Amino acid sequence: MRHPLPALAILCALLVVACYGELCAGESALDRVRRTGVLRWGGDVQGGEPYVYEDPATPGKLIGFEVEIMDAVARELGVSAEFVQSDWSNLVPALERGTFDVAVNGLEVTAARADVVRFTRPYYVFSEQLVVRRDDASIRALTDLRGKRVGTLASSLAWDLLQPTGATVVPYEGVEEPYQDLVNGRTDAVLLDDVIAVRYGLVKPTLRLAADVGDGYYAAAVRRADASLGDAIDGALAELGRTGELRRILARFRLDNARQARLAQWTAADTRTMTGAHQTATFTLGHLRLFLEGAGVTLLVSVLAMALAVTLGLFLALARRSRHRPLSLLASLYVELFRGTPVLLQLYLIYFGLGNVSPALRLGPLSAAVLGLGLNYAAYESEIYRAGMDAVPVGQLEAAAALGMSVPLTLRRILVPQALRIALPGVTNDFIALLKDSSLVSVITVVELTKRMQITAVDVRSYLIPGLLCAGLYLSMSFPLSRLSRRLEARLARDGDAT
Amino acid sequence: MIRVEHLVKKFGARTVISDVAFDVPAGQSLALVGPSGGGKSTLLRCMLGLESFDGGRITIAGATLAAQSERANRVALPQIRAAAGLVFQQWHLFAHMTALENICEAPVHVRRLPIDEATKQARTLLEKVGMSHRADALPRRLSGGEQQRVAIARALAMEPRVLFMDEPTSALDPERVGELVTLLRGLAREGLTLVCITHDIDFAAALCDRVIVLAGGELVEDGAPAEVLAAPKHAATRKFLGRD
Repeated sequence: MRHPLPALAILCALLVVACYGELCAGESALDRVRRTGVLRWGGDVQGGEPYVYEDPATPGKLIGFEVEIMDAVARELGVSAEFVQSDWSNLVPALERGTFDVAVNGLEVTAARADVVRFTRPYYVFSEQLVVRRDDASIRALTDLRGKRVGTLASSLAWDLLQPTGATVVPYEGVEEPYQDLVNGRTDAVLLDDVIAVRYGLVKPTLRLAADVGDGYYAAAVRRADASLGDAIDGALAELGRTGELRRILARFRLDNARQARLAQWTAADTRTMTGAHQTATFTLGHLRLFLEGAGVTLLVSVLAMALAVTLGLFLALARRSRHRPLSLLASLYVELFRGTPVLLQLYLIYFGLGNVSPALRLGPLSAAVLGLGLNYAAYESEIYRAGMDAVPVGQLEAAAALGMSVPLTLRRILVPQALRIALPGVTNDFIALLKDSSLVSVITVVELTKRMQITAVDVRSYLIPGLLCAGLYLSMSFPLSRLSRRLEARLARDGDAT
Repeated sequence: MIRVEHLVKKFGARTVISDVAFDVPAGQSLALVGPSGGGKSTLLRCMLGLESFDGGRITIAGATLAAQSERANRVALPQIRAAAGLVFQQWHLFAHMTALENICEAPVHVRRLPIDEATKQARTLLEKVGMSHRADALPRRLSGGEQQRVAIARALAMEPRVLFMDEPTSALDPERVGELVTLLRGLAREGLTLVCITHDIDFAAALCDRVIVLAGGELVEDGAPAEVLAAPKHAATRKFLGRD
């Protein structure tokens, strides 16, 4: 290193910070909250009504039943509450890192979460609601779901409930999409908690409630080490339950019902039952089989999408060279459009957008994934081909013309074969990129390798083994590809040198 | 065989060929000479429809290209290209095909000759140009002279009645020029009409029975090589021949 001084300074700074952390470690989270007078709690405003959301009447002001509950809890503790915005899917890691003291945002008490955080007593009792199409009388309970397609949020309590039913569970990342797909017939049922079901599912005229299949709890989460803070919040929530304030808050957000009566009589033993008594899952051969299936889906989607991309890309490249102005303009427009917008958006529009336009355009998730990635990559392939075509000397095309070869014949026999050879390394490179980009199709409910890894990581409480296995599988798919491309290049070069 | 009438070609505002006219009877060997930028290559490209022109007419083997009549030209052009072969200055062999494949390409795909027959014909032509031993080589492995001979064979494979050549001697060693002259003379004896663009006066004198000098876009001299070279009438010709 040429300048050791800055590095040394950074090292010292790190040491100081670490020592400060050590010194402060003597102070409990509860003591710190009391000392600073602020209870920092994390949530995601994007979760929307009724949890935490911006007041439509006063932009910038946060409202929601969780806002009111946390204000009341802070008041009981003699401090003030401060909201910290955090992406919902990162709520637990952010809590563990210390970004805030407590996470409160519709966190369902699941076995997986109870292993990593310390849950307080619940502030809301929800019911898992099975929603089906109004004209479908075949589903009345979880036991009717064998062989059906059922939508839910990945890693939720509903996800856990569905695993033993024999249903094909379709994972979504938003709350509107699962009901939309149910209306469109892509799934047979949706299982989500009543807060979501009432607001997003049952408002649709063609859907109905089939059954309440079990209760679950929203609870606040603190770090496992912060037991005293957890106890203090437990105490505050108990007081709010006893005085009836908790139910009054819920009532203001149309959330109060008979189930909430349990909140007032809740005991510490109930909390132990809620969070305890479950065995920790470990990585098993069953997981490995699912991983291989995921890798199979990744490979299938990538190969088919690439086949579409290389074919369509060639026509686009030829169209762009065409002397027919409207045709070349159209091709340019296509390339700019598909390169200039996010592939994620294209996937959404093709799967959810087109599905709403007409039943005939209602593609299955796999077809939509292949089409979306294929159409997008076609734009990139056409650019690679174009460079390849530009590299073929114009003289050869004139020589073909002078020999009486027609334009299409010249393209087919002279231009394209040479352009493809020049383009081959770029195309192979793109194929490897596509292999990895294919993980994006999980937003349209395709469970490919990366999605499988995320689901398993939550199941087994660790990203390490699933992450490494996932990386290994991607490598074992892309490495042979890059070897193949090397060999093709080498062979073409050798052909070129043949005498 | 060839009739050029009042040919005018402009690049933007610049006139590069102004009112050029001449006839070439069948079987004649014609050299088009003149200084660089004199309009020789452009004239050649116009004759094969690789370049449009702004005035006049070009008739080759009975088919006529005329200025501003695209539709009629579209009918005439394939006829002209069927009757005429062209060997480019840089040969422009198809880089992904062997010498043999280069020669077979147009006969198989344009004249629809069976592959066996086209291959047999191609081998005969390769022997004629002295390239049988290089039949399976790719263009990049061939020397300039070798590429040229393959390009000649490729043009001859379409059985043209007139062969155009652009600067055939520019990439050849002096000793190879003699071989080329021998080859082309043989073709001329078989009745092929030859039109060569060249800078090389000695080559023109050795091969051709007529020389046309183009300078500044105009036809300034037309006659037998001996008389044009011995007694040039035009100042531009004298300058070009280095007689001033």
